[in-house]
Amino acid sequence: MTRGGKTILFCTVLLAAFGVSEQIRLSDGAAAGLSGPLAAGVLSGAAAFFAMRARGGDAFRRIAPFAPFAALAAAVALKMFGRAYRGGVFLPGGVNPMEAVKPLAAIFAAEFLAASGEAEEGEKRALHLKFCGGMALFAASAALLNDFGLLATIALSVLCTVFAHSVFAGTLSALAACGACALFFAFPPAHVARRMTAWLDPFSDPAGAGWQILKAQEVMIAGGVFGADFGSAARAAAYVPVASSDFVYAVAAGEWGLAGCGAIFAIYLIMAFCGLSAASRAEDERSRLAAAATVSFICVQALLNAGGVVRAIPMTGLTLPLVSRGGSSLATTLFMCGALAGLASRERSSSSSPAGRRRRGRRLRF
Amino acid sequence: MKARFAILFALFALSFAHVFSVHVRNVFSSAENPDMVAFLRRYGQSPEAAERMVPRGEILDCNGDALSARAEDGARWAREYPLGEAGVHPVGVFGPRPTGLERALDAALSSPSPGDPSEGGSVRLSIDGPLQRAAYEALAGRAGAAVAMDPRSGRIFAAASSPGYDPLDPSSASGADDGRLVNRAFEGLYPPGSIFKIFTAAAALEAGEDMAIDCPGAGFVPMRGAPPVRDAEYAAYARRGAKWPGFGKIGMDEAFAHSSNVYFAKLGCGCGKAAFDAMAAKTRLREKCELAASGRERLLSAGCGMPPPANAAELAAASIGQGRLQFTPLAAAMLACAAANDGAIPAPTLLADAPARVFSRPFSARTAARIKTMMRKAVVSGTARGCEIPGLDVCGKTGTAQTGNGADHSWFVCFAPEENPQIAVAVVVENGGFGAEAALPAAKAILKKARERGFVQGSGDAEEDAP
Repeated sequence: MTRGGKTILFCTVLLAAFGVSEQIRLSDGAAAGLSGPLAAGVLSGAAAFFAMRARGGDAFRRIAPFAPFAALAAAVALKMFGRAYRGGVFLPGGVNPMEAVKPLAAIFAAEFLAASGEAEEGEKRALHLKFCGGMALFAASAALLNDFGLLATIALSVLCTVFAHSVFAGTLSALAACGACALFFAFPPAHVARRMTAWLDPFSDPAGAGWQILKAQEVMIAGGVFGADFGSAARAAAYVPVASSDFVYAVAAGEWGLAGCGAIFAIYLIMAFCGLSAASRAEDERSRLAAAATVSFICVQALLNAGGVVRAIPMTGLTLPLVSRGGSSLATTLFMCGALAGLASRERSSSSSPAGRRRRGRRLRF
Repeated sequence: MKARFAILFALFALSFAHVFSVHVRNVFSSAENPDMVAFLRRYGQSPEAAERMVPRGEILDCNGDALSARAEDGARWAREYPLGEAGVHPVGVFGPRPTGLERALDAALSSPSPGDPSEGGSVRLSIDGPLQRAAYEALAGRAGAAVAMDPRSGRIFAAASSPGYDPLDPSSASGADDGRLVNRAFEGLYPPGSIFKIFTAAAALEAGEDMAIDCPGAGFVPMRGAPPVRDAEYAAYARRGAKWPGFGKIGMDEAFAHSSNVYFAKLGCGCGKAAFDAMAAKTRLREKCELAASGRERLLSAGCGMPPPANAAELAAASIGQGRLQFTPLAAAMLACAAANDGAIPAPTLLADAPARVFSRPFSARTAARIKTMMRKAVVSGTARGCEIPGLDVCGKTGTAQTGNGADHSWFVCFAPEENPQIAVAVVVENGGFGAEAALPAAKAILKKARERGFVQGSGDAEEDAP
C-alpha cells in the first residue's frame, strides 16, 4: 500500500473511532446499535478498497449507468414506505437509501466526464443528453423528498467533479449554479424559507425556529478553545436537539473545543490532499475523476454539516461523515473512503503497459 | 499535483478555514452579542457558557445611584433593587422573562461597557430615586399612579404605580387580583374626567371660541333622548334637599376654575366633532410613546382612547372627560406639559441622555398662555385651591371621573412654577373620589419633594443646579 493509501486509511479509522466513541458517550455508555452498520461499512469499505486498488475508476463504471435510476427508485421507495424518525425518514429497519444516492451523483458525473473525453464527436451529443437526463433524475429524487441537503450535496459534489475535469467547465458550471441558486432562494419552498430565517436571524424566534442553532451555539461557547470537560457530551445531549447526528459537530466542539474541531477539519483535509494527490498521479481520466468525486463527496458533506452548525450557511440536515450517528451514512462513507484509499494505493503503472492500453480502449456504455 | 486538483484542494481548504473562522468568532464574540446573552440567560443550560457572558450592567438613576444592580452574593444573574416595590414599576424585574426597563434595556445592559469590556454596560435614567419613592409613598398604598416630568425636555423624574410588588419575589404578585403587575403610570387607562377640560378649552380657543355661556342648574341636554349634563354641584345640592341654581352666564376662566360641566359640554358641542377630532389628532396622544429602547426591545406607553364622538351626546360627554375616553397618567402629564410649554408636548423619555424633542404641537403659545392662566386661577381660587404652595405658583386642574361602578377616580394635573415651568405632575387615585380629595394632596407632596430635590425652584429658592 502506498503512503497515500495508508494515510487515508489511518484518517478513516481515526475519524470513525472518534465518531463511535462520541456516539457511545452521547448514548450514555450504550453501544447503541452501532455494531451492525459498522460491520457493514467495514466490509463494504474493504471491498471498495480492493476493487479500486486493482481496477481504479473501472470499478465505478459498472455502477454509473444505473445510478440515476437507483436514486429515483430509492426516493420513491422512501416516499411510499418511509417513516419519520428524529427529523429523518427511514425505510423499515432504519435504512436510509438516500445516503447511498449522495455519492452516486458524483460517481455518475465522473463517469460521464471520463466517457465524454474518450467519445468521438458524434457520440458526445448523446452522452450530454444522457448526462442531463441522469442529473434530472437525481434532482427529481431530491425534489420528491423535499430534501434540500441532498440537493446541495449532489450539486456541489458534481460541481467539484466537473471542476476536477476542467477548470473552465467547472467555473462556468459554478456561475450557472450561482444563478440557479439566486432564483431558488428568491422563491424558496416554505421549509427552506424557514431554514433561511433561522439562519439569518435565529433570535427572531429563539424558542422556535432558532432553537436548534442557538442551543448548538451554546455548546460551542461552553467548549471554548480546549473543551469544557471530557464527558460533557452526555450533558450536551440532554439539551442539544439531534445531538448525535446533525449537531454532533457542536457536541464535539463542546467536549474538545476549537482545538478538537480544528483537528477534525485537519483530518478531512489530509484525506482530501491524499485523495487529490492520488487523482493527480492517476494514469487515466476515469481514475482521476473517481478520486476527485470521492473526495468531493466527503468534503462537501463535512462542510455543509459543520457550516450549518456554526451558522456559516443554513442548516441542511446532513450528517458529519464518519462522526454522526447513522448506519446508512457510516456504511456509505466507509465504502467511499475504502474506494479512495484503494485509488490512492494503486501503484503507478507505465502508460505503455498492456493493462494501461486496455483501460484506455474501453468505452463507457450506458 | 496537477493545477486543477491543487485549485480544488485550495477551495476545500479555504472553505474549511472559513467555517472554522466562523466557529472561532462564535466562541469569542458571543459575549458581546446581547441577543445571545439574553438567550443564554433565559434558556441556557450550560454553566460554562454562562460564565463566558459579560456580567449584566446596572440601571442607575439620574444621580448615578443604582436602581437595579448585580447582587453581591448569590447566583450569577441575581439582582438587587434598592427602591423595592416603589421602583418595580418602571424598573421591572430581571429574570428569564424580564419586565419593564430590565427588558427594554436588556441589550444595553448585556453588552460590554465601552469603558470596561469585562463588565456590562450601565444605563442612566432620568428617574430620581428619592422622588420616585416619594411619589410611590404619596399614593399611600392606594391603587393609582403618579408621573412627574420635565415639560421642556420630556424627561420623566418619577413614574410610580401602586400597588407595586417585591421585585425579588415577583411570584407573590401573580396571584393577586389587584393588577399590581400592570404599570399603571404608562399602561393604566382611565376616564380623565375634568382634567380633559384642558383639551376642550384648547380646542375651543384654537377655533376662536371664547365666550360666556349660560349654565343653568338643570343642566344641558345635548340631544333628544340624552341624559342632561350637570355640574357636580347639582348632586351635592340634591343630597341636601336643595336645588342647584347653576353658575349662570360665565366665561371660560370662571368655568375652568370651578370646573363647570355644563359650560364645557356646551362649549364642546358648539365647537363640533370636527374640532374635537382635529385636536385629538394634533395631540397624537392616541399613539404609543417609546420611553426607552435598546436592541430589539422597547418600553412603550399605551395610547389613549379618544374615539371620534358619534353624536352630540358623546361629544358632550367627551368634552368633560367622560364617555369613551381613556387616558393614561403619562398622557395626562403630557397634556399638562402642552399648557406649560407654549403648546408643545415634549417626547417623554426615561433615559437621562436622550435628546429633547417635540412629540406634538397641538395648540399655539397664545392658547397655552391662556390655559396656564386658567390653571393658575384654579389653584388660587378654584377647585385646586389645596395645592397652593407658597413661592411655587402652582398651576393645576382637578378631575373627578365617573366610573359607572363604584367611587369616582380622583385626578389632578399640575405644573410649576407658572413662569418658566420646570415640572409637570399627574396623579390618579382609583376610586379616590373628588380630585381635590385624593389626587391633589398626593401631587402636592410630590411637588414639595421635587422642590427639595431641586427639580423645581420657586421664587426665593436658592440658586442650585438641578440634577
